[in-house]
Amino acid sequence: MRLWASPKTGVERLVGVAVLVVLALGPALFSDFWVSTILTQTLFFGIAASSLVFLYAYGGMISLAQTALMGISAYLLGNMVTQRVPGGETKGLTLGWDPTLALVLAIVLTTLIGLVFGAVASRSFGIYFLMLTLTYAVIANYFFGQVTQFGGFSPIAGINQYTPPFVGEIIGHPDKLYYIAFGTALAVYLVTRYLVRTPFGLSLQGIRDDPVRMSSLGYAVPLHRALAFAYGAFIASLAGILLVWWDGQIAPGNIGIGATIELLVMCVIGGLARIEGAWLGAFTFIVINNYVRDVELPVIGGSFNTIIGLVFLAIVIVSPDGLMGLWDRLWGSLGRRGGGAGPVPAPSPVAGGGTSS
Amino acid sequence: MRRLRSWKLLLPLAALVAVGSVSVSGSLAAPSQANEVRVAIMTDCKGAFAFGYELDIGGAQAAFAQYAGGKPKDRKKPSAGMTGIRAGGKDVNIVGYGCGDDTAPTAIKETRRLMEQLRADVMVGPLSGDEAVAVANYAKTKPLKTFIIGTAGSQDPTMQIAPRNMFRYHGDGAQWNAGLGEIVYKRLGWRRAAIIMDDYSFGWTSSAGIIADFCAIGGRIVKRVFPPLNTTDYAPYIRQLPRPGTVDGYFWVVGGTGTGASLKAFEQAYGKLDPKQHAGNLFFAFLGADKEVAPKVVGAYLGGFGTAPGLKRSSSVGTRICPLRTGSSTTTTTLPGRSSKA
Repeated sequence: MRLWASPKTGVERLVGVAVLVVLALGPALFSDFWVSTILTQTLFFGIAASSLVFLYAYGGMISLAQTALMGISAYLLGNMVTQRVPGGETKGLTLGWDPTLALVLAIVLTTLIGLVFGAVASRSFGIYFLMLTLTYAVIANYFFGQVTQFGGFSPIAGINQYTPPFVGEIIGHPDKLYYIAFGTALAVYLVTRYLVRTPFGLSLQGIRDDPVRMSSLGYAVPLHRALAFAYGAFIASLAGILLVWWDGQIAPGNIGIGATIELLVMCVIGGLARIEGAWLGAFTFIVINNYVRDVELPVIGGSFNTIIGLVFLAIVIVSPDGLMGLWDRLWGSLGRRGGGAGPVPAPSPVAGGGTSS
Repeated sequence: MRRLRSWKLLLPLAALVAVGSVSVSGSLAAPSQANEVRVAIMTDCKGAFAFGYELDIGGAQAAFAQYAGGKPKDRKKPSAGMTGIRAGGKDVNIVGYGCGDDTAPTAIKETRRLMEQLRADVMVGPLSGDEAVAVANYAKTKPLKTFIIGTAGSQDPTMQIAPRNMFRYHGDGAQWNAGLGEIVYKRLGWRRAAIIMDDYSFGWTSSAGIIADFCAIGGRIVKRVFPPLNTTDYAPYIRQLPRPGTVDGYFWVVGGTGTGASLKAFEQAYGKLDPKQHAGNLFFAFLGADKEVAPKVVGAYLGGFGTAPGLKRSSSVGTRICPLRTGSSTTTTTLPGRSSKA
């Protein structure tokens, strides 16, 4: 009796279990800097990236609004939980609400905003969808940067002082935040994997492949796409909450065009066709970001931005499906060489889903 | 299939070894010694203030060269580092330089890298206002580390946020403008004025220094306009200002590379600048504006910049750009603080 459908599936599951074990033992295996900065960031940026990968891989939508949605939940939380203190230590509305209530509201409101965003963009495809979501990103950035009641150019700070009782104190407890991020990332991964196998997920993939046919079969194409976008916003909101718990503050720079592009670069490096690529891309990006700062490239000069640009270029040329795509190809070539039944590479959805409905 | 089975074992093993070795290398990176003080310097290499990267580092390291035996590795490039620094019986090692872009998120990212990855004990910096606000909030979470603000002039880091381990050795942006509002009120007869200010911490602080004086003595700010930092086209913001003749004057608190561009936009909209109708902060005569802006506003009053080099002190009130002669260098007179004569 075969335990797994293919050798590749078996190896992937073993690798997955190994990664989970390593991550579960993270604080014991890694230095403090690695746990509190590299891995924690990888986990929550991976969550944000997974929302984009989900929309692309299963809905055929490349969204540039995920960073903005992440920032919206962070700003909502910051405005709701921070308190006015003598001297005006923090910016924003400083409503001083209960952290649990604020946490729930931040997630719910961001998801609803995502639903509205998705509904507006749901009839757009391809480059038009991309531009619409870019517009959302720009609006969010300028809104929080210029409407000083909600934030302004300076950060809303000290947000991580106000956490729900079930989270407890996280300042000075990086391991706790790491495990929260780890658990959240795992839950997002499993729920997304489940969702894409439900009737909703399957019809979403049908819409990705041929929206006209799905529409003619009676499926509500815009509704499916809007709901998928709302789910993406929900995931992004979780990443936003973790971001402010980790950083303690949120500023327009967190949701600017630069940050938007960075998230896209993470997804492309990791691979847009598979959810796992989100965390792989985030990890690669963050490690390069932290370890090549002082490296100056010979001849052409430049450092991090140049190196990540070259990596991006190489990935796009060599493997449009990112590092996960390389993995799939490796198995494809092994299968052919071994003469066995080679694994089928993950399907690469067509951007925009073809024609408009 | 046998080959594939061996992969089953090899791949996770390789992944574990790779992750483990990275972890170990991360753990062993740069162990700190008891007889050593690790210093990091944080400034901007991107954004509106990127031109100041080497200048800032050079300034921060000058004291090491002058008083602590520091030897620059490359005299033309301060960021190449220094060797041989010793102070108070301890070796001082500059462990790294931060590269900000005048935004808070990048400042925090770089500060974390310097303080946590490179394990600096002391950080000098950052350069600009919002960065300092972000670093001040971060400093609260690292009470055993020391932060010395670089050139950032925002007030919040040391007045509102005020972590006990953060220090400032120059005034803030509001202090640099003290006296300016009072001077234009008394000497130029301004009663109603408009202000255009960068929408970030330093812009607000710098404006506060002007507005506090001007309004305290009876002046009124009838319009406040806030262009974001890094604005390149100021025309829309200039059009938001009241027309000349409807106010007595304009305060300009537009920094970085914006002062020249914003004044030019004003000139294009309303014609030649009248120095008696314009006052500004240090950026009227700083960062290249001495050549571009100052000749157009000779005679205008402007705020100071702590003890910035190149500014000539006098006992007169305020800071004033003196009349220029063709071919001569720009000269300024300055008096930090409020004047009793005004």
